[in-house]
Amino acid sequence: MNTIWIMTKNNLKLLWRRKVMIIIALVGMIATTAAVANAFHTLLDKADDAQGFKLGYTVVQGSKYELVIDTLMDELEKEDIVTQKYSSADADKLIESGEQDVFVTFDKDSYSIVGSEKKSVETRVIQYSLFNVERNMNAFMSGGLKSVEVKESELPTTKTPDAENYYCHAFICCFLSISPIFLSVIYYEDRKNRIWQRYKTGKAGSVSVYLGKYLASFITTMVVFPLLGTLAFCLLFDMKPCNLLIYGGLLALAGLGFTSFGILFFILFKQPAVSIGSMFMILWFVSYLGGVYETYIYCSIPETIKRLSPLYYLNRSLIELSVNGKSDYAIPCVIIMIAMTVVFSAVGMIATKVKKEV
Amino acid sequence: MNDTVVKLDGLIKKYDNRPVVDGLSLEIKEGEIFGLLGPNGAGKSTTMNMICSLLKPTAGNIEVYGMDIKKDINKIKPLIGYIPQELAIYGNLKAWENVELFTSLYDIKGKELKGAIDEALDFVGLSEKRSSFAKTFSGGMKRRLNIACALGHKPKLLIFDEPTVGIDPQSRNFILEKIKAINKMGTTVIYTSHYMEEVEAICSKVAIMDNGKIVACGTKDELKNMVRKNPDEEVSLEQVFLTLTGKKLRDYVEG
Repeated sequence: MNTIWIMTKNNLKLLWRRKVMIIIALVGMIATTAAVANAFHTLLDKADDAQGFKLGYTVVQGSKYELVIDTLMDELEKEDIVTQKYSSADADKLIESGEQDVFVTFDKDSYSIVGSEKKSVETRVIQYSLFNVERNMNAFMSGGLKSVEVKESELPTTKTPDAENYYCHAFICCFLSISPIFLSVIYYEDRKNRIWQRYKTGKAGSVSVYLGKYLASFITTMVVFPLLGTLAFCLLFDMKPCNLLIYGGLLALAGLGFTSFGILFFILFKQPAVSIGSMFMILWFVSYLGGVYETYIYCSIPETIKRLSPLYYLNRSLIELSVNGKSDYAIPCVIIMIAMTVVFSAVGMIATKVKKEV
Repeated sequence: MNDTVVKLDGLIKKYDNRPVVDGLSLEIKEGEIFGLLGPNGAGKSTTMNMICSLLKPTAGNIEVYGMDIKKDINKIKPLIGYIPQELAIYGNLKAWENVELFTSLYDIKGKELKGAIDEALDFVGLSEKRSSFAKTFSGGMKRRLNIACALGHKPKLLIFDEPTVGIDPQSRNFILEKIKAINKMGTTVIYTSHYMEEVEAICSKVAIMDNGKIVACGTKDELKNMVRKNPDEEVSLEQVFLTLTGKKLRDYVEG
């Protein structure tokens, strides 16, 4: 224990004496979050403007949507969307003339939406609302729901997502996952000066050497991102973390899991540049699938693929806990992080023992 | 009483079926400063790496203080102090932190550890610079710190792999004097160097290696007598070395 403590302590000194690296990481995280949250805000501003547009629609006789159409239009009216029913109409002409911004034709079993080019956001709002109605109706038809309801909460215009809160959480998770990169300075020095020879000739085993680096990296990660990062985000962006104990616990587990994952790259590859490059590449995809960068392409990725990313569970857990106070993703997240820690740590310790250079 | 510190018996190390150390047998006695000489690629570093357990032999046996390195490696490790040719120190750690880190690898803690740090730094003359970062040191000071890092756990056998490369004569002289001093305190020393005058100045016994084998082994006088043509002829260790290993240039690729 004494050896592990002294190794951890000195590795921490080696990490924290590279202040520039830590400052760049912290500032980088804040700047990226600010930039992305700002871009998202612009989109939200457009969505806000969307309130108050004109929606025309027709419903053919015998359409399955007749059941819900009145409720749906009532809810949309509450959001300042002016709706107008037509018995028959040429949607393109109405849009072209500016009489309507969006037009929906409800056929027997399907619907089509036409929107003006300038009102693409409004068109997406209607598309999303109808998607939810359709989903509820399908569940109703198959006996999954007792009645068809169109809830206000299902309309995206009724609730403005807090972009800062979302991206603060997402980027803390993202940067936390790549934080073992800090260790590159130690591994680089170990190999350049062949310091590993001292560890191999010493009595301390490979487990001690591994843990000395692991703990130093984990502590640094926790201080820089969950602690300083959260503090900065709370002050700068009014981030609202959930219960601090749960928030800290989930991030600590994630820190353990991603540290053990990241160290593997430094053990397996001799060149730190190769380790950093390959780690970055994999973690970029993990972050992408985890929902750190919300793009239109991301929306089209199947849910089963997204679920392959550990960050998918972590992001959703933290954000849902922050907004709703509960999340179904929390338990899977805990299990995945513990599994990552156990598996990758075991592989890391074995690799440290087997490899010539520790 | 058995005073053998290191016994190598038929030691072989092969890389890609190419023998780098080829059936080496050798005994190093307690209290000796044993010089291991040889041209580049002769197998000196490979031999020392095997004694330090950095490399596993392909065949043969190594005994240190009568213990088999394959079976008793954990008992042997605290008895050996290895000073690598490279400056195996962290520039961003202070002198005392470097010694602390590498001494702690031998389960030394608390007051004993503090005492060991002070003693090691004092021995290499770096007490006053204990709180300075290693990266600010001159080449000679770094070499001395490199040695101090291997002294903290008070090994009975010290292995020096070319410890005076690239330093000024004053620092070299200081290091050689310290090696003699530590030997007088009872520590056995294995020393490799390309500087013949160093080996001549401090070693009590010398082995010359070439192509993975010992070509000659004995006291300095015994070796000189091997090439001396008449009893009055002045012979240097360098002449012995060149006579036994030849004057052909040796270029080699590590590993």
